[in-house]
Amino acid sequence: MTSIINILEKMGQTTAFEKERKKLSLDSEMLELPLEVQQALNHGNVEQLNQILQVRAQVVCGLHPAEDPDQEDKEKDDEEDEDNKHQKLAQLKSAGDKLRHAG
Amino acid sequence: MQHGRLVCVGTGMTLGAHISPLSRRYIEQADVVFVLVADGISEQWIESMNADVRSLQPFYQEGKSRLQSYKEMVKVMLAEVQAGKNVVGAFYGHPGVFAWVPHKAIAIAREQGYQAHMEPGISAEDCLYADLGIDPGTYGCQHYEASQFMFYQCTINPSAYLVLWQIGVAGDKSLTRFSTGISYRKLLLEALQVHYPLDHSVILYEAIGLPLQKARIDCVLLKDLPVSEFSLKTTLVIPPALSMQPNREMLKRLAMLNEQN
Repeated sequence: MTSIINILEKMGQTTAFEKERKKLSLDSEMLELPLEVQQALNHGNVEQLNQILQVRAQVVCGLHPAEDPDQEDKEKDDEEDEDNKHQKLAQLKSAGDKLRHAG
Repeated sequence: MQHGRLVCVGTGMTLGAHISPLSRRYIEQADVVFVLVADGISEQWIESMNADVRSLQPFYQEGKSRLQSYKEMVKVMLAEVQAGKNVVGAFYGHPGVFAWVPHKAIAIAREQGYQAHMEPGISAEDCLYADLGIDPGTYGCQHYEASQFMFYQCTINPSAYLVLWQIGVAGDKSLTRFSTGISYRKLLLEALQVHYPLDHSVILYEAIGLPLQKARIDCVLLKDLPVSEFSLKTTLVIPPALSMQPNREMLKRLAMLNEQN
């Protein structure tokens, strides 16, 4: 099956000028492949090629989040810092109240 | 400097056609290659270049936050760098264009004292300019990730091109979907029709992934956007709707400057 990949790679490197001069289906390397592969290549049948090469058909390709995760993490940290600050203040206030009552 | 190194390379958009000789050499010489490309055949093509190629695809799962997937991708690449290996991340297109993972992995690797850098590739944006015959220098060109365009109040210039990426998942705040439906696109249309007439012609574009494919270049009216077909690879290109408006005040001041000098 490596030869299919090789042929695809060569197709990717074939200029339009070369394509005009000779049909790729006449390429000797391609003629050595099973008929179903030749047909899939000639007709651009990607689904069939996926099956022949047994590659994953479902591929996800998004790589970019709409919102900056670093900014979100920072905002979350800031919120947590703010919560911690309020908690500490509440603890200090409670300790102060207790001392006053004890006094 | 620590042992271990990270290089994120671009494989380009079209199998065999776009990868740079240098990026290919990095893939061939790496101890381990992590790959994320846009189709299974291209993944197998990268596998043919190195004995240890590991796909990042399994980190994606419908219903799982893509952000979580991205973070796991960064982590798994860095673990090999920390183990002292020469690691290559091979990403389709350009590894630094609309791609959080390579940027993040390189930044963390550097923070931790490892050598890390990026090698550019031919991006979908590059293909778009060639296939559509657009020069971003003619009227200017704005690019947004489609959801970002919806979430934030972006200042749009309708005299310039507007390109919205990842339109197939536009509006997905959860980052857990692989597609969003008509109702999401209706909201996108609402946001766009503030700046563009409904009968404005727009282009749905997909670059060539395999050399036996053709680029998708479908012209539709803006109002038909909600019912148009989208995949994760589709990009929306909106040509200018207004001619460029001269900045008369600035031109007057520049003329005065020219007279003085």
